[in-house]
Amino acid sequence: MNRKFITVDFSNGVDSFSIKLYSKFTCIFGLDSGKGKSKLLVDLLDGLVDKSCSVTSDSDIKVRIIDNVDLDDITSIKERRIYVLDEPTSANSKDLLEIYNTDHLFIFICRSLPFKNEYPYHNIYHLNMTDTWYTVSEGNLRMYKYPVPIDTIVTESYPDRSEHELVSKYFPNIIAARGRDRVEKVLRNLTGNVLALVDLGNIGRAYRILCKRCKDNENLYFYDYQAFEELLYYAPLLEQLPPVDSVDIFKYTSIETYYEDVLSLRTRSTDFEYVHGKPLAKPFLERHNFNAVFNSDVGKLLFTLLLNCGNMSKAEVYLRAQAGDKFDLLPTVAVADCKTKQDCDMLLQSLNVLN
Amino acid sequence: MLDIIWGRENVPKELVPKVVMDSRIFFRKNKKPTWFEDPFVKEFLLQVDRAQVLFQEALLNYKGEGFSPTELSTGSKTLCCIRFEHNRIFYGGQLGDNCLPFLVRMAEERDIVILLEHYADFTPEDIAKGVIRCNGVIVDQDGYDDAFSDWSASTQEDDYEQKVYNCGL
Repeated sequence: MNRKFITVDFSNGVDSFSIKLYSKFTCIFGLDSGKGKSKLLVDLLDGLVDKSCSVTSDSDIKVRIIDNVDLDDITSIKERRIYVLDEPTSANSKDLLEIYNTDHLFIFICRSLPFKNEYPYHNIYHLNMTDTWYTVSEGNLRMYKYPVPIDTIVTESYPDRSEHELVSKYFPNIIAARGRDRVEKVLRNLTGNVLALVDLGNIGRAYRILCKRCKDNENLYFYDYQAFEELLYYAPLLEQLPPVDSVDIFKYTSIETYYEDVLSLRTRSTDFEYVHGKPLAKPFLERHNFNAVFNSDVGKLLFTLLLNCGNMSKAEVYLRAQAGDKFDLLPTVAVADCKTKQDCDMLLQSLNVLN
Repeated sequence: MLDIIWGRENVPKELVPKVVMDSRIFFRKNKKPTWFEDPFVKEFLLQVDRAQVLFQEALLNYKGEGFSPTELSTGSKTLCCIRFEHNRIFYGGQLGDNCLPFLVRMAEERDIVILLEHYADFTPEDIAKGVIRCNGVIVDQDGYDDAFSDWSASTQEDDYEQKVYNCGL
């Protein structure tokens, strides 16, 4: 998937590790103590003085390592920087908020961020010490891969809103968790193969408890999208609308909010208008637009899953496979009337919509 | 018993002066050589930091190199502080999951209050000991998970913009 990110490289001249920044906050954490979190910052600060270490980004943005949260240093600098901080939770709330409201990007070495500061799943790294330096690994959630069949889908949204409203049209066994922090409770006692549609771009402090759910249920999977709005934004259905390039994702503390904003801007005053908190625009919900909604880089796994495990009849699945993008030319009633392969082939031939 | 306060915004006003958000600084200012003669301390230093106590503040790391307690992990420092400073509320965000069994063992002997703002993954065995309290109630695994999720769901951004939560060092 074509997601914008900045790479930051941490090197001691012998070994190096890299992390990718997808939005304002990135979290390097160690589940256990003694894994080198505090030592990393000390090594970096010492190494930058004697030039044995380097911390660089692949953009024009300078990277600065700071030990204590110093407001004057951060809030007075107007040019965007990437700051690496250890344990930012010690300062008071007002000071931290001032820092967060700057244009800078932050890599926090910590176990938790205070308040509701959100960071995406792909901005979470686990740190480990080696004999010569450090390594990082990405988050521990189990991502969905087809062809694992799914028994239940759990959505972060409320019933008949957002992804629940859309996906429930194609999948019969779907539960709305009513909020990110309620997802884990729904997942707690579910058995069977479960797919969780959670905005990974906003996972924040829910990450740890969702990892626990993955440990408890080996058949729990998460869908790899930053937000449901990311799926909508990249839907082929919106191809005709010019993309929104002017909004800087790195200004956002939440990737979910970024996608809400760009989707809203892109679809404003059109038939596809998206308004956060309101029901989806009709074209997204029309069954004949299934391909046009889901068949994108972001949605393709969900597309395949719903096609093969959802509530579509075998005839509809066959017609979609045969007609491809031209499926929406087939009258809905005619599709519903098809019971056999012969019926389907006759329909396809009569309308001359074969691939 | 181990009493958990979820979120700095929920620390009762009268307890705010007792809160230590950064145990690294507290440890540096308050540690005593005799702390490291305690067998429990020696045990968790070995488990968490792979550090041996040679004599009081003279420590040996897993590579056989001598080092000072200021180089210990923040988790070990926090455990030391909790062990010896009974009248404080320490920030649990500086405790890794491998520190939690030691925290629970201490809570079996006396009452401890900590401030948490992350999901600390206590083992089922530790939860089953029945010494962890959230909102004054002893919790099982579900109760603990509910307490975390309820707190996480309840925090609103505008609370932080309107008020100042300043848990001191």
